Amino acid sequence: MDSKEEEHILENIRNGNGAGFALLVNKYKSMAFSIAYRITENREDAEEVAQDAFVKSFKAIPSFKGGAKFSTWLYRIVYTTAISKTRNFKRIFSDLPGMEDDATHPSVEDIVTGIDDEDRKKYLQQAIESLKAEESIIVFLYYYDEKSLEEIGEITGNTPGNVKIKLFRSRKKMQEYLIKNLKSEARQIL
Amino acid sequence: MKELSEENLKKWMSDLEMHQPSPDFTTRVMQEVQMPAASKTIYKPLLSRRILFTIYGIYIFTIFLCILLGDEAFSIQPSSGDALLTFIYTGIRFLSMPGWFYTSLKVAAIAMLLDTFIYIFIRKRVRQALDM
Repeated sequence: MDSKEEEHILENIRNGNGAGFALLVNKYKSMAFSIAYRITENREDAEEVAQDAFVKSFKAIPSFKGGAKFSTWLYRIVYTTAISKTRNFKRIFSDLPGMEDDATHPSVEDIVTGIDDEDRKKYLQQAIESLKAEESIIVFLYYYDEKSLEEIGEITGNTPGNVKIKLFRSRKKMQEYLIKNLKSEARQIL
Repeated sequence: MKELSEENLKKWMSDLEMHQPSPDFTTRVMQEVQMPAASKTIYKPLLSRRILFTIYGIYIFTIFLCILLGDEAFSIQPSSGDALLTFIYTGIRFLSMPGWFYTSLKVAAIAMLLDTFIYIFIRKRVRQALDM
């Protein structure tokens, strides 16, 4: 579905025809659920949050003027709904222990490149899981959904500069995690 | 020192699988978005949520002010120290206070609470009916 089709669906919803909304739900449900899941850390809560966010967005579509992309606007609703839902603020915004910034790194790129695809997926997934919820969402939105720093800023309520810093820190934390957990592979490569 | 490059991260992360909601997720969302229209036809709160919360805010603030100023209706009487009893006692004192000020407060409080509860109750019933 391209942006023209999306705009057409949104226009229909504004005119009272909501049937096309299912297409938007199908398109964005994975990322919406993923954002909610990273914050709530619970499948049931994440489903509830994602569902609530879609319903809220549906109701608010008449006031959505298209200043931002629909996805950016929707993810912002998911993000704020999930944060309201969870009381686990520490996990969302605070640093995890043992993640010092000044650790020394071997050549992590070589290590990760050297392992097979399945292992890489597994360790990368684990590295993302080890991040704070907000960081993992930023990483996913930037590298997976290819959102810009400005768009991620709109979703998470940060400035683009802040997003950039958080992205840098997250990458560093992921590196540290990978280094720590890929020692055996590293020994073979280095 | 060679670190994780942006290009490689993008490439590797595109292979990752996203968390997926349950298969009937879209159906449930669509049911939900079509539901408020049904409930609105049965009952709609007289006041919008924003106005309602503003009135609640003013109402609570007024009571708070009365307590601060030592108004008779809200003055906490010496009791056995049981917080619940003191609370109930204060409530009864408030309900029994005469005069237009307390009467209007009481009427406003009861009307707003009824309005909210009826709305919540009917919405819930409609949702249950549509789910069946």
